Amino acid sequence: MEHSEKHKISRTEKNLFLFYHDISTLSGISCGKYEGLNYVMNTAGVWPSFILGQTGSDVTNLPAVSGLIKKGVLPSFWIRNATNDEKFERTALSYGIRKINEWQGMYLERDYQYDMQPPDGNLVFSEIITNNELDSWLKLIGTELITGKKAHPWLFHKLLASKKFRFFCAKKAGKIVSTLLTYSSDKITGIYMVSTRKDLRGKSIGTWITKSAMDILISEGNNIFVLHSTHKGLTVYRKIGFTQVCLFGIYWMLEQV
Amino acid sequence: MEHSYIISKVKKIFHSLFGEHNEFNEDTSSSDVHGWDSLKHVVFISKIEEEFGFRFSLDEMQETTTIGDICRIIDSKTTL
Repeated sequence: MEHSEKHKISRTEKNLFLFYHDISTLSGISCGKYEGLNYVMNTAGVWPSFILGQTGSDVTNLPAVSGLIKKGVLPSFWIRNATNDEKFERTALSYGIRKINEWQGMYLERDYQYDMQPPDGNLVFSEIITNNELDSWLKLIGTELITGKKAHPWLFHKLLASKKFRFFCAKKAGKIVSTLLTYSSDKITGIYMVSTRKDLRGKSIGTWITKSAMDILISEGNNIFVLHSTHKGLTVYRKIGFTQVCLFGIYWMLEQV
Repeated sequence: MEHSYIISKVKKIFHSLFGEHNEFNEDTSSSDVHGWDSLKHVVFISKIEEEFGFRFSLDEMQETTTIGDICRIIDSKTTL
């Protein structure tokens, strides 16, 4: 039976927060709470530190929150699950906190596999098991997904050792051409870091790697999936069966990084 | 507002953020310039907003990837 919309939203938000929380914890950085807002402090490369969440008094809290961001007590990024919250946006802007992106919170319950054939006969899907393979996986991430930032291999090696994080790839002629990371917690699996080499985009490789990874998880009894997509990825994820349940606004206090 | 005036102002901001060594023309895109990542893009746009006295919408901010894109938006916002 499908879960209520409220449950879907809270699961989509919770997986996102726990994903970053566990990464921060594994990287040895502490997390905390301020007035009902969770925050993670992450100094390990590719992921920024951020505040996640909202309270009824967000607007009232803005002077205090912005002051703490300026002092470096709270992170300068804020991910809020709030659709078209114009009052917050307007007030936040007056404190120098600006909306810089939006992610669609997507949700899917599925208990049968896709069994999609590879879009190209030379493609091979596999799960990353060794640190050496993971380093090759990271190289593709470094050129296709997070250019300009450095991924710290030691942290990813720690993630690989944790059962919650699983790394998948598509290989062509022995080289990794597409990546995907899953994070499972409380029987909910989040899909992260989907990327495909530039020259192979538009050939449904991203769809295939996502469905193939989900097939493995479904065969192991996981049937709740969430992800957080930019506008560009929406069509692909809708075709896979995901539906939009919420919208995350990504805010940033400029000059604080 | 004269297009050449817009270009000269944007060029000044561009060089102050990314360095004088980077080539500047209307085809210059974020992928050509080291350090022009998504966050620097927000800073770049914010400085342009301060200079010209208007705001880019979220869509405009995300859709602009070249100097030409940015100048076209400034043109459209400052020409009445």
